[in-house]
Amino acid sequence: MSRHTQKTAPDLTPSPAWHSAPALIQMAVCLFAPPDIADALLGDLEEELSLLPLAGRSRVAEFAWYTRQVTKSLVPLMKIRIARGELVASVALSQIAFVLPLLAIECLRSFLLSNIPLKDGAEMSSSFISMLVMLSAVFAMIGAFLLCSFRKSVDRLALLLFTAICLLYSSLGLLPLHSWKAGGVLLIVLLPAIAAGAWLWRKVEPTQNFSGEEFQ
Amino acid sequence: MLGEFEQIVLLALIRLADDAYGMTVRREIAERIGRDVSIGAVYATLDRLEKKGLLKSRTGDPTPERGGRAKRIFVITATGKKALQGAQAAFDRMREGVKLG
Repeated sequence: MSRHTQKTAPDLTPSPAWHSAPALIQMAVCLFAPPDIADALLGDLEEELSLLPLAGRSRVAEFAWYTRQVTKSLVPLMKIRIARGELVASVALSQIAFVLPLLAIECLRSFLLSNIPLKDGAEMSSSFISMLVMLSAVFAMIGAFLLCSFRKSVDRLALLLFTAICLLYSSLGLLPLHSWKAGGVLLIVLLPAIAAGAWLWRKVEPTQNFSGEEFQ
Repeated sequence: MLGEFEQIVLLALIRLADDAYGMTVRREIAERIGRDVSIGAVYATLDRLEKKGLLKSRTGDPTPERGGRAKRIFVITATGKKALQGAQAAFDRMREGVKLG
């Protein structure tokens, strides 16, 4: 192959009035992107955003540009995490973290009710279900937090365990949330909890990635 | 075998030399071929190519215009150059003697 011509670097002189990027959208990047990429990517966007006023764009246009860039980037970023096995692993262990305590609570409830005459098989009250959902969220957050420090082989083991537990759990009919509505509510509660757990871990251990390796 | 976008990204790295990071790669592609790719797509490709050993990355110094965040600078490896040459040669061989339109 012939030698390639070296292009002069583009003019990256920042505008003196560069604006800081929208915090909420930055958070979306942190949630979707692997931590080692998220930081560099946010820096790139911030740098490019600082150059936009030079082209005569308004702040609204800047915001629209930034939002469009992030929105278009979320799926590719998610693909990186799936390819690295981070996402599956995070969800897997956090699920184990909530399925096991939920199973224990349900077993305890059944045991207690079976010892009270005429109470066995009674419908669960809404407050009890709310408590289960809240506990699930807490355990999901802790699970996600713990998983982030685990290594890949352990992640795989966690995924296998999770699948086995879920199969056992559903086949025994122990899951108290039968309807799709209840499942939806649980999902809405759990996903932010998982994300919060992962975010907390990143705050505590910012120099490591999800496979436990130190950044370059 | 390298995909079309992977080849474009590797060529951008060679063009940008020591100044190849997410934003400059994205801008280079946009300026050269008029394709407005997302920064996420660029990073996904760079990550994949790094995993294949076709490029390597290092962390640069944080700068104020980047909000205090460091650059992740990418450099093509010898294996990457070889793979790119192979892909271009294969394309040339397939194109040989073919008349379009």
